[in-house]
Amino acid sequence: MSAGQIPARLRRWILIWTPLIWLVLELVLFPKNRPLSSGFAHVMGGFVDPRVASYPAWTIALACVVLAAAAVAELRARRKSPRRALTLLAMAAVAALWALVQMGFSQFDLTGRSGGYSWLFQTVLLICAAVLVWIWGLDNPERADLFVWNTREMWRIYRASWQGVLGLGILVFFCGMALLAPFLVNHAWLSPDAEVSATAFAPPSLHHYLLWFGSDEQGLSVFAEFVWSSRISLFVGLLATVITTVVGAGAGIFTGYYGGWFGEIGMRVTDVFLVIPWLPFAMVLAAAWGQNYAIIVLIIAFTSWAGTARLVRAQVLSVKELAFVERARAIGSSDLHIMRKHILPNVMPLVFANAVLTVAIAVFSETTLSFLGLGDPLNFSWGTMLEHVFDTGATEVPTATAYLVAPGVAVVLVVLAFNLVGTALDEVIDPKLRKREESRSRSDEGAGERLLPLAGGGGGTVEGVVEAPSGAVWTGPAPELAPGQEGSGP
Amino acid sequence: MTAVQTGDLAPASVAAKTKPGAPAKEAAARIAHEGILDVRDLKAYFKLREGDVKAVDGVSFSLESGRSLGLAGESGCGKTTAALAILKLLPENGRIVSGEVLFDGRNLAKRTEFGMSKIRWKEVSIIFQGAMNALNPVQQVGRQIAEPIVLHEGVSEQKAMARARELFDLVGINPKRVTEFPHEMSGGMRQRAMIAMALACNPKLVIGDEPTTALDVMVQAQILELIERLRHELALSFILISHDLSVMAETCDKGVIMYAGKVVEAGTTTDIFTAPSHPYTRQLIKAFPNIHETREMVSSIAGDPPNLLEPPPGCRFYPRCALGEPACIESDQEMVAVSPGHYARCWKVA
Repeated sequence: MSAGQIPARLRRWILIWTPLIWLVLELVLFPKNRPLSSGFAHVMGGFVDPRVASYPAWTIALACVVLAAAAVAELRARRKSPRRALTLLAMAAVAALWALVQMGFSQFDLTGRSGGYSWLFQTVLLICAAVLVWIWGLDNPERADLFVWNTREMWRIYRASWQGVLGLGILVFFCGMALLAPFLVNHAWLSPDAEVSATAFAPPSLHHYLLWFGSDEQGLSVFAEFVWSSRISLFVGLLATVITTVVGAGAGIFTGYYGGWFGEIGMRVTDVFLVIPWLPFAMVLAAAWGQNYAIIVLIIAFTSWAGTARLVRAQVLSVKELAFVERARAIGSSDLHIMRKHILPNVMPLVFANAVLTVAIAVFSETTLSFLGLGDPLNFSWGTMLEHVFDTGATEVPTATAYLVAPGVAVVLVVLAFNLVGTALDEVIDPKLRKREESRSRSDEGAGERLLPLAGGGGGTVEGVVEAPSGAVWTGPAPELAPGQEGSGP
Repeated sequence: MTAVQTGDLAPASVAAKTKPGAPAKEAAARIAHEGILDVRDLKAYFKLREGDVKAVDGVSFSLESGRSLGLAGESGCGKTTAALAILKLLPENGRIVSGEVLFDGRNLAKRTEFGMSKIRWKEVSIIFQGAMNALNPVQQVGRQIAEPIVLHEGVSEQKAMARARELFDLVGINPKRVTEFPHEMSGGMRQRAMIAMALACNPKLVIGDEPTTALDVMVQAQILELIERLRHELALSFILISHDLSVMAETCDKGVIMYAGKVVEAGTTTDIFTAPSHPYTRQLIKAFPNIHETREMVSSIAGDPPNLLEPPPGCRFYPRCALGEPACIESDQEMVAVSPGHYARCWKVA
């Protein structure tokens, strides 16, 4: 592929993913000129004064600083053309303007609604990001070609597992519900004076969609609560997972790589977090820090990073003994460089597989905390709904069965789905877990070289994975072939 | 026992030992003039709970610019430790106890880690043992080769990648393959890539630590040929570490045979193979099948190498030596000249 030509796959990716991400962002930020708000804006708003919270100004200011720093780094790299640096500078400028507007330095308001301009900044920034990726693809066509996963190939392997497809289906259903909540049910139906039935605990009825799951103790629509709850439940789960994974993987890599007294102290701290029973700990934290979803996210991350850290550390300990790490050190690479370029890519599949399972745990934790009354009293999540069911004695009311069952089943399904997807992804990542037919059909792509038993790869779980241009997936330091897979030739 | 006269190929320690009063400055000047690398009485120990493992115990050899030197011996004799000590890449529990590593007149043994990072790769580089493990499985080979170029020459990644392409061409791999991952290459190709990596910053001296050990004989021959070609094209000095005497015979001008952390024989490879003088070398050569002579059983050397935690007194080969006499344990053996430029650590050869 000659330089100056963007690989078709990356182009397709940008063209498909940019509008998709745009849609998701816009849906999350969908303006809710309603007394109660939820979704990203409000969750993040937990950190700051609710009056300035849509996207809180400090997050945007932080993004601006990061973008500016990236632009400076680009400029210092002195590339042939400064277009990357210029794009980054433009993004930083947009973010700066947005932050200023958010902080109330201007009366700039396109729609007349408070916070109504965020969609515009968001869109501009997203387009800039897409342009940036495009430029990067133009500059490094070969790397770009490798960087982009071969989605078709991955999907081909993934869909072989019916559990994975089932899990993905459930997730698509609930994520779709969460994103489209503003269109499915008006948020106004959640306000305390928006009764849909004259009596408490009206039975489910098919006459009106608001009555599908009946009504709650105040006569409010259970269906409306159910739909809007999915936003909080999923969002808290995902955000907590992101923080857990970043903190846990970071801690695992640092303590594993440095070892010695630093690693020992780090691991003892991790041990402390592991042995504290998480539920009492989380309850104490919730009592101390207050009740809103930003804090619930932090609590979940705070109590669950240690498991990820330990797992990652174990893998790092085996990866760092491999010869290429020694080679990198001999060359003179700095520790940070080795961790970023050599260790991280080799533990990434493990981190990724672990993250998917962590989402399930985080969703479950959020439900537990909310059920115990430690959730955000101003918002609905499935856990909050269950708490209401329990508190109001709806478990004893036959007509309120749906009120109890709907959130309970939803939590179970989402947790199950994440576990199914996690297992199926393991299979995509780790060829050893794949079915026999899979390896036979791919034997013509140099089967002998795909699975190399290298020394040192401990654990035997998912390890270094590469998405080759041909789509061949290979585990890095893989231990022996699984029995029955020796000689993957025809 | 003949007193040793310093010859052209004399290991430096010989000079130092026989002329204890000689001013060090004069010796250093002489060595800087004649050799690119001069290892003198190098001792590198590993610290264990039980004590120090004397893996390299007073090794000396020298190498002239543009020449090649083979370091041979059985497993565990300290070849690799000696190579790693030259570059100060010993594992955490290893350290250089004493001795000098004079590279271009500069003593590497005394350098700090920061000082070494200026030397490594830019002036001395190493081809690591086992190319399969020395390449990161999840990074493109070209980018791994570009890594030292970016680090040491401060050029942009694009330029480094362009250089990686040139290097691929130089070692006989299609330059287009720089974007491939290690698992997409064959064993020989990976070894070539490792050689390319060693050449990345135009070093003066390359140390090959068993560069052909994991390869089959055909590929081994190709790689040796490649090293030979590159050595002449780029005027490299080369140290080959191998347990395979035939590889050493094929590639090297000079040979150093090590046993239990000490040099037992040193000389030109021709000398070592035509007139092996130390009993160990003789046995070692016998342990390889000879295709030119009538078939005879390949003989192994009875016994095990000594425990380097507490090496035996006197000659370290004595317990396994067929010619051993009680006199061998009485004192440490000195290097003895067999012929000009050919030395053996055995009093019986004289």
